[in-house]
Amino acid sequence: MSKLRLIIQESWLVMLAAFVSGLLMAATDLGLAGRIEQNKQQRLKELMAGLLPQASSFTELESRFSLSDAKGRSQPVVVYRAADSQARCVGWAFVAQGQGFSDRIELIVAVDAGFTRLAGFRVLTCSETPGFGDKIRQPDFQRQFEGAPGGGLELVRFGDRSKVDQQIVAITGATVTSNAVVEILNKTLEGLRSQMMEKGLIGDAG
Amino acid sequence: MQDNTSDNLYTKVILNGLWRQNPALRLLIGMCPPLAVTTGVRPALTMGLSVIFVLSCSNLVVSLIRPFLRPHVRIIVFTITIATFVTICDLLLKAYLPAMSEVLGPYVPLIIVNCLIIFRAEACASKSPVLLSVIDALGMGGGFTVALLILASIREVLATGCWAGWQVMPKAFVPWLAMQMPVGAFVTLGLLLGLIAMVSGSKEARHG
Repeated sequence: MSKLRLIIQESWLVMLAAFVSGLLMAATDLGLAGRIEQNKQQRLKELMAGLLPQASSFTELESRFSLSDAKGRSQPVVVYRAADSQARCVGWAFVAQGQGFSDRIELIVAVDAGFTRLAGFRVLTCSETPGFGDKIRQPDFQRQFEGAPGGGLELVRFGDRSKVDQQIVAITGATVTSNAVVEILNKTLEGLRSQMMEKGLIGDAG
Repeated sequence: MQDNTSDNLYTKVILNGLWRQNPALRLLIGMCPPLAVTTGVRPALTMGLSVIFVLSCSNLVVSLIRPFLRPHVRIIVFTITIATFVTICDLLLKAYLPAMSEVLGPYVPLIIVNCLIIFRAEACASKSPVLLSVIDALGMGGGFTVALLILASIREVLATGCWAGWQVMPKAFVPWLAMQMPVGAFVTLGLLLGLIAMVSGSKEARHG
């Protein structure tokens, strides 16, 4: 009994601080969670609308998709269906991620309705080297993917960036980051295409 | 008479944080943000204001609870207090300045381990009255923010030709990309510290 009293005497302030701290953080989170989620969705939709301008709405698919990461763990992937004003499917968008040169890279990727051609990608998260790896944000690099085949992309060191095909010209001084983008896209496109075909969301021709 | 003395003390505490014991430029503590988020003036200002918010709140709370602090639990109480305000600050940025929160990335949550905050809790707030602790936080946080702004101004202007996004260098100016990279942060900080040491050294020599 006296031991318990000693523990309480010595640590009541820590317990009280932890309790008040938890309450404060929970209250702030409760108050701001809606707005934070709204900001995230807003940004995602803005980026998706930029990639698929013909779409007038984006709906999150109820079907669940997952891809395995480098360590073999299964990671969930949310897929959005892009529809025009007549509710016809004009494409799909999803978040793809993988390891870059310095940290994880997160991309929002859009493809056409048949999952055959890329509509493009935009960067959600990237902490690559400023002046080199972070050039994956530049339109000059991103334009190569707009209309490129939806799989089998390969990285080349030199070439013509204005030519849109499966060959992606790397950023000088950032081969690892350029390769990471190509690998993320190839892996995600391949994995998602087969799962979407299984679920009957796209045809075999895709 | 007493008011004058208090005013003098508060002014001294503010000036102490801004110059004589400037955390980033004189004491060299909490050096992660000065190196990591000074690529632009806007992120530097946001980081500086976040540090002022966390430091003021943590100093206020630590000063209020100082009669109950026991030596062996004080560090954990400081850490809980700091982590709470950093989390609140991070959530506020995510909610109201999402673009800036993304630019600052993990550096806002990292304020938890910024030794400036725990240093002031230990050296000042746990031993001083509430008002003095808050003024100390404003002085130290202000000094830290000024240091971030000086570094960010030099780096952004030389790396992009802009200051806070506004073009200030002539069109013909060739950007120094290296200033945007970690090497730019170390070189600028080193030169700035050398300059400050030179200025303060000559001052001390003059005053004997």
